[in-house]
Amino acid sequence: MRYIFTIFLSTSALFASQNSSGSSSMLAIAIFLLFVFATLWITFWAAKRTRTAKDFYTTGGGISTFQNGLAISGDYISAAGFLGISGLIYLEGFDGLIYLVGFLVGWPIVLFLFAEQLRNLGKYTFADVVSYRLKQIPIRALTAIASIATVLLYLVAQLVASGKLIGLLFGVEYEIGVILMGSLIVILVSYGGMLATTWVQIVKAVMLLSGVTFLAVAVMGSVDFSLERLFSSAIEIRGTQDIMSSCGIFCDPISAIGLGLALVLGTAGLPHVLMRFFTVSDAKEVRKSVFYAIGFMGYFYFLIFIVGFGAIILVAQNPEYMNIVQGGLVGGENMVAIHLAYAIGGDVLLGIIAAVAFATILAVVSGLTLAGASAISHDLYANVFAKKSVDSVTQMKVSRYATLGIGAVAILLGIAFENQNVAYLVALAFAIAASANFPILFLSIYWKRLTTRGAIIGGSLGLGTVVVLIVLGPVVWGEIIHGDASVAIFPYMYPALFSVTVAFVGIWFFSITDKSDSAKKEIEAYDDQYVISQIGSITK
Amino acid sequence: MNSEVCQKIRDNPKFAELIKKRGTLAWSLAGIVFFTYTAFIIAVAFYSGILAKTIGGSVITVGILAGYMIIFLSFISAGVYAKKANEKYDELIESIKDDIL
Repeated sequence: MRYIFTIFLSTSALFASQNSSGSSSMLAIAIFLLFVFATLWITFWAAKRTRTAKDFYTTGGGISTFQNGLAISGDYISAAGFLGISGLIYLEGFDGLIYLVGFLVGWPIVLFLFAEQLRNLGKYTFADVVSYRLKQIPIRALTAIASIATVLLYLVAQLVASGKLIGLLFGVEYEIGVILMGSLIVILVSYGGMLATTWVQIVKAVMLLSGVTFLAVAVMGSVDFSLERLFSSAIEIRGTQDIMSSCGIFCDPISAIGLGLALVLGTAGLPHVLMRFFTVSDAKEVRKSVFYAIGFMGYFYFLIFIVGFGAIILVAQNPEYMNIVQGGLVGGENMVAIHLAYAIGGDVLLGIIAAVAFATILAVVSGLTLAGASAISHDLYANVFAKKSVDSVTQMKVSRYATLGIGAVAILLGIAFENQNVAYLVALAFAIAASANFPILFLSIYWKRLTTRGAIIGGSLGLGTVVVLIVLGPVVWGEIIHGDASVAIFPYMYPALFSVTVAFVGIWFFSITDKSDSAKKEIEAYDDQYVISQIGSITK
Repeated sequence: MNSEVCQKIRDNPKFAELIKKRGTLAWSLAGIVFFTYTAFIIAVAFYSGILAKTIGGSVITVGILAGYMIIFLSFISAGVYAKKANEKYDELIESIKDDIL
């Protein structure tokens, strides 16, 4: 822990020395650092205090349902939900709401159809659930690869946001921001480890909810608390009604449906979210915490819409925030919320909101990196490659290397995706989760005829399709490789409609044509699995 | 694992009752949320004109109101399910386990 703070201090000293050419004032930076340190301190303090009571991470004891609800929303509302969405609403208005609704609506569905089944069947990861009656090794290999792909894109989105944030605050180059943040995360995760993940989420959730409440109230204050005035001034400034309805990025129906599908199904396939269902004591707690979490997230999404529109009024007209050379906002559209904070409360609020954003990124990223590293060390290495019991020291070692590897790849991709909206990048992560993890998980719980062959072939087809379509799509093939979105081989930004269909059809076809003996056993095992999934373990 | 026990549970009429009651509630709520959301997305994709209509004399559009209604619906339906399952269905599960063990 002292090591972490030393690193932190030296990086901040580096930042401070860079600041002669920087863009924010010393006051903003001082407040930013103060808040970041306070967050870390509270987190470590709280984590230590709880750990003496009981090992909360595995049993859920010591963490109340209310706190767990906060932790779930802390895990889920990432830089995409805060910085990306406010940027999107600032640019396109209503289109941001489509994202908000999609992010939330997956949750009740997860609660009704998955939450207790997962809790009843699983131990640590959702791969446990799927391999309940299917073959361990191939299933774990596939779900681990899909999880790593999901986690990686999600991680890239957070790094893009942090690169911009650090660049804006300290006046360093974007690439340096990404590398610094990426390294800091790797160090925190590999040395801080599991210790504080849940508490980071709780502290961060409270900070984020208070921060966004403050911004929203200030915005509403500037329009005399009239939503009508908020929207009509925004329309006036933009000179168009378009921000009040769709047709910015969603004129094309295939993209709209693709995004909708990815968001609602992807929620039930995100490995770091599913992990949360295994950390509480029983199904009752799961239901209650998801209910609380939906409350927190709904509240947040309600306010962030106001914040986005507030930025149109308070930021869009001020040349101070505009990048004269490249056009657009200083730091890009992902930095709207930070500019809004400055517009409302000057350097002090800028420092605070930047720290809130930083805590958001740090919390989500540490959860993600852990989920990715455990997919590699637990599912891939221990269960697939080594095929025998691996001692925990070796597993920890593999997990550390995995953290390093994931961090390095994420930094490289983060630099490549510099100018993308982070909400869009997260939507791609959802698309992967929806195309590979979700179909396998859903069918393994609800479809008796599912066999290992069907799950593996269909799931791989879904995963392959979504990855290929993302690479050939307008953003990667177009903007990043050729500098022009229109040359893309696959024309749609959101490929989930195709890849989810491919996955379901593939799983169905290769399951019903599977006549092997092992398939017969897997189908027979469904009846018992069904009983367990409904009522939990048969003990008192 | 313990097939016989599972068979006994399946034969217990209370298990059928649990599946029927909880399943009906869960799937209906999931259906309501999913179809409302699908309708919203279909409107975004094909009938954006409807969403662009303003409500009364206000500048607020049908689309914005619909979006917020779905967020509210998600919260309410989750609350209904959590309350019902925690109070009623868990009792039923306990009594099934009592019968078997």
